[in-house]
Amino acid sequence: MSHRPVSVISGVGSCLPGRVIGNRDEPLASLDTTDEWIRSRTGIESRRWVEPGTSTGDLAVDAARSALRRAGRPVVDLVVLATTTPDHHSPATAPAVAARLGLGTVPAFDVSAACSGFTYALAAGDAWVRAGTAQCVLVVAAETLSTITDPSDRGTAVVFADGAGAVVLRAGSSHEPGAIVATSLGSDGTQDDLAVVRAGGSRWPDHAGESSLADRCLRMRGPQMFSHAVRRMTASSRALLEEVGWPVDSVGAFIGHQANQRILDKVADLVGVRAEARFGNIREVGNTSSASIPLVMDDLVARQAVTPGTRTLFTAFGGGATWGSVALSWPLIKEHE
Amino acid sequence: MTDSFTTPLSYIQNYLAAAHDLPLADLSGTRTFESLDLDSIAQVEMFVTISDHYRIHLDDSLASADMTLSQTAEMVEQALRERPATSHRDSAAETHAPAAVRP
Repeated sequence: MSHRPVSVISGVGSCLPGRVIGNRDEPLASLDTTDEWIRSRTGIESRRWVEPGTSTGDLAVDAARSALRRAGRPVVDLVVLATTTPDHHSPATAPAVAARLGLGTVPAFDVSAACSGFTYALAAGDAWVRAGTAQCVLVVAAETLSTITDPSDRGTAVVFADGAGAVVLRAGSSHEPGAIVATSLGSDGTQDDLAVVRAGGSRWPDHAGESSLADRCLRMRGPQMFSHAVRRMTASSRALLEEVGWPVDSVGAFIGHQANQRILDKVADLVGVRAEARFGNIREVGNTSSASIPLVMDDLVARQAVTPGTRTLFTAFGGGATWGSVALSWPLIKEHE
Repeated sequence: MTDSFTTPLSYIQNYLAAAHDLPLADLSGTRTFESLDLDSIAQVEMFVTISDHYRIHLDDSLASADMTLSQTAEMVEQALRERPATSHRDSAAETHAPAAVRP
């Protein structure tokens, strides 16, 4: 019998900005599109955007505070923050989030894996716990994609949104609800142009100010992204299920990265996930990149929609290209004052 | 629904009929995706589904609105002829490195 520690999710939290943008609201109303077009192509009816001045770190702190409260305010010894939209190019956002949460001088770092970021951050936190390097890890995924979205670009403006989700991992046993069973990650850098912000990095610092707004915002090759996302998430899900020995019909909760409802449906169909095990919130929340999975998770926890211990599968795909899947048992989250 | 189809064209026709609620009688091989009023995402969805079913790699960058169902079926047949011994699904799994599995 193994006595190696296992990481267990003991807290979940989220934060959505208050500004709701419906398909008929500005600036989307000025685009060459309609509510029907957006809904039929993406499944999205509304999304949340931050007000100017609100940062990724602000959302991260609120989501993390909620997760820590539900976990009973444990002593945290690592903070991992997944984001594509850090508060600054440098420094990382995680140390500031840790400081604002009163977590002292714990190690804190950002993970940049686009929409797969939460699965990468969760795998990193899980590895620290399994290695015995940390007893309690705060994993946050937070995005303000509206800050890198060109409002005149139909392909991205209708899709991307803002939000944050967080989970707390603690050392525990494999029999507990919330135990991480396995993680699996992958990347394919030959597909680095599927979704890219061209200007502002070291490749094109643009100190001369020659870039356009479009160059400074996220551009996406929609159909190609669709194809790669479906193929990779399907393969990743199948491989992980085989790895852990779970028949797909034993999975009671499946949460894919909320990229696009048609992508989610296709992946779930190909993997063979039961209809009643498919969960999402893209219709109301849009695509919040790395934050999407913990946002769905927190909603389900709040509604007590999944029984603790239920076999659960997360899968995600993002720019880079990156992908990741996580097999876990659904956590038992207690409410603490 | 997958094993009863004798040809790729038959599979494509039945897939489109089921996925988009189209009458099978309207899905002759000469029909283009544009004439069926299917958007670009629908075409990618179909390519991904076909690839998964036949365990082949179909290059969906070659998809176009004026492509006919017969031309798509010919692409499938070509890919089937060129398919290596290792299936597409196995190949995809090989690139997917497991990071950590509980003992």
